[in-house]
Amino acid sequence: MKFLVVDDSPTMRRIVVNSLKRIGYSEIVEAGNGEEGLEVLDPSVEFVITDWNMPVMGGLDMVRAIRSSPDTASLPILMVTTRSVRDDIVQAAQAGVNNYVVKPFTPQVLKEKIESVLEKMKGAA
Amino acid sequence: MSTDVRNPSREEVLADTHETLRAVARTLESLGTVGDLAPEAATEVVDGPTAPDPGPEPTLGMGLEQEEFRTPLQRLALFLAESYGELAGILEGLRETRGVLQRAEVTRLQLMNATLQEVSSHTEVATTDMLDGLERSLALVDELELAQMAAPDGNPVNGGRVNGADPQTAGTDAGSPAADPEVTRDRLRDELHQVMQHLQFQDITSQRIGHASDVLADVEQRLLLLMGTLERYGFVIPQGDEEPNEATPSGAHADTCDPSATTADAESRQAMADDIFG
Repeated sequence: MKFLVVDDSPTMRRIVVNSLKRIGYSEIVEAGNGEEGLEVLDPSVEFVITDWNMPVMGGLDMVRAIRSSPDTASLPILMVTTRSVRDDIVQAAQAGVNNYVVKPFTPQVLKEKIESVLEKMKGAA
Repeated sequence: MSTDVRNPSREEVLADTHETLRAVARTLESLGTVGDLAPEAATEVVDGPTAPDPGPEPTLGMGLEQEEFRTPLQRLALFLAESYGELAGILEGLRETRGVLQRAEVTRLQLMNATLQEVSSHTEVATTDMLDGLERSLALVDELELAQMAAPDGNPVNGGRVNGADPQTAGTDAGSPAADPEVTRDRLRDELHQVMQHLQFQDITSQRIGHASDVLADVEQRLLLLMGTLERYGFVIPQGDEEPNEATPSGAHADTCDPSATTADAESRQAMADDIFG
């Protein structure tokens, strides 16, 4: 399964990529903001992990753009962010995020959320 | 013209000042030219914020109480004396407003100071955690070395154990009975991954610092504006009377930082997200 990891912090990208590799996913592309994420998003990407606060285009706008395109509307998206106010989380859900991970996270939490998203999508299909 | 000089808002001050100036302009128009003014009256208006001194009460003892006896110049002098008193009151209100503004900026700076102290504290905790992890990793490297020395041919002794140590419970201190090298390597790998996880603090603290930087830049801009006004008029006019707003940074990092980013309570915050996403 190919992942797209979008985060403006190179440190966080490395940590997410490292965590993904640790839990068994090794095919990963990276982007530094939402706009770059949309640029590298191609049909081979099967799962998107994105931060919220980013320059140029934030994660929420990128999620809305992905959901508005018929080609990518059903792509599983996991948001990994420091934002943890209830209203923010609700807003992310309304924008189309499939699940939500609060930073700082552990690889175990990341694994659980990815599997949860995939199971739900498999059940819905 | 009415002004609550005890605590006028900026809008009230501006409205009153505007009204006063319009009234002066109307009176001057009715007189013809400014050159008709007595030099004393003109000086009094231009001098600005000296002690309000309405002068020798031009309306008393001079027959000026009766409107029909006043000349246009006398009416102007009377009006200017009244206006000057009101302006002095307005300026006093401005001084009070300046004080409120200064207190608000101090509060804002104190909040930022607290934020930076919290960032410093989180940095220290994360650094300590990483050092602990690295020390444990070094101990595991020593343990691997010990195991290798115990089995120089590369074959683990005692069926994968050294000195019969249980690989699941073997100690990590160098010099302790060596564990199964494979188990030790796994533990070393876990430790190094945990060290990497601790590095998440960098993203979180950089967001807090970015927000603090924006707030400080905003305060700097406000102070520069205040200084400019002070230099021009000798008084401070606030550029905005809103309270400091922690949650809405407007500077260079506004899009990229979360002012409430924290390394604390990750489990409870994750639980709230889980609750919403089911």
